[in-house]
Amino acid sequence: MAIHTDIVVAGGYGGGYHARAGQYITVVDLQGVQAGDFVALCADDPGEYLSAPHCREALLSLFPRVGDKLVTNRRRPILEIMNDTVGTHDMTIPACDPTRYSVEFGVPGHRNCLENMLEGLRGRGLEVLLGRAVDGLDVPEPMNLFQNTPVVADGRVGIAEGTSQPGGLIIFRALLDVIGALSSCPQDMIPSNGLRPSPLRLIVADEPVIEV
Amino acid sequence: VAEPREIYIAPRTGVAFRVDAGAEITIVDLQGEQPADFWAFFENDLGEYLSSQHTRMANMRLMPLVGESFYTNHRRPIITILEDPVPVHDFLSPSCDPWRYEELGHKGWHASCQENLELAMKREGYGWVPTPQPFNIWTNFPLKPGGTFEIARPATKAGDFIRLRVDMPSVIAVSACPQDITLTAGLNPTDLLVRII
Repeated sequence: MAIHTDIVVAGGYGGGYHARAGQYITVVDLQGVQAGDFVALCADDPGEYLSAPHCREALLSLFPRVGDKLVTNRRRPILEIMNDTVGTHDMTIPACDPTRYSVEFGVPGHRNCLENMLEGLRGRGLEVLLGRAVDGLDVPEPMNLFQNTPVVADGRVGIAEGTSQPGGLIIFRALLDVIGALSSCPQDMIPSNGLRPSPLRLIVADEPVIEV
Repeated sequence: VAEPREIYIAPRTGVAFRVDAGAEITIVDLQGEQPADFWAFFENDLGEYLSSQHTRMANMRLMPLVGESFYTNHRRPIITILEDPVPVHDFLSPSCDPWRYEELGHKGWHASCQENLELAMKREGYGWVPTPQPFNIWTNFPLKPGGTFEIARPATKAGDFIRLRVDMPSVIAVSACPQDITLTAGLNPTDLLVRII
């Protein structure tokens, strides 16, 4: 089986990937309780990308499940969820960014998912993103893998400790050629990553990789 | 006391206008069951705009309540809800766009909130802008346990309104949603009125 990418994204850092239509993207939470901010953009037109609002309307759900086809901002299926041993993912809250840490926590210079994903995308033909030229968005709204944001009856949203066990994984099949990024969320000030960012593994292969 | 400025929004169309910080905007559903897709951009940098994901995070709530604010993608308050007698809105879904109507089986051109935004911004001289996920005023997608939702008719009757305060100099856009295939606009898209003080 051909493996095209197999990287370990260090806790609090980012990485990027390419996947051709038909290939499988596996993300593994190696140590558990680690959120991974994840984006996928169309390789031939990064103005089209995996879009959380469009997924919610297509699925009529806040939470994606195995078998769901995730869609772009132009409502085309881009990824299909083939396997998911965790089942807790977020599509409602933003990536952490410089402002989040500098203004809200008083910690300038903290690593953050937005810049991690930009680093992951850099050098993959999407430099234009850095100039805000793609739909005016630096990085699309992410899907936050293994992030636990329960919604309760009256519409309140929580950020809770993740539920993923070591080795927990999600497998997507790319339905379009995609370029994307994954950030192992560096948030260590609220309990979304067990207060200690840990590594994620990212594999792109011709077959789903389940044995890890 | 400044005279209120009124902007009429014909059925299936959109408008854009600039407002100062401190302005109050009242949007009126003239005939009932009509959603208003609403966007706000910081006037000095249209790349800073009302962001649903950042608003959810700031309030830790899917939808702000009266007295709470909408936040930009730079995490600053841009709009505050002052009065909301029919608090049944959607803040999870994108605006309708040409691909939505294609997906619903419509052939050929169909007005859409995304195109209404793009045209209104161009008409007012702001050029092309991307379409952020809007605040879908009176769009009624009731959320069920487990996080699923459905598409229902708006809960508004003729004359119902929402009153908002603008917290930074902004360009505001509003679209009278032209959705006539699903129940989103009660199968009968109608007009809206915007009053600015």
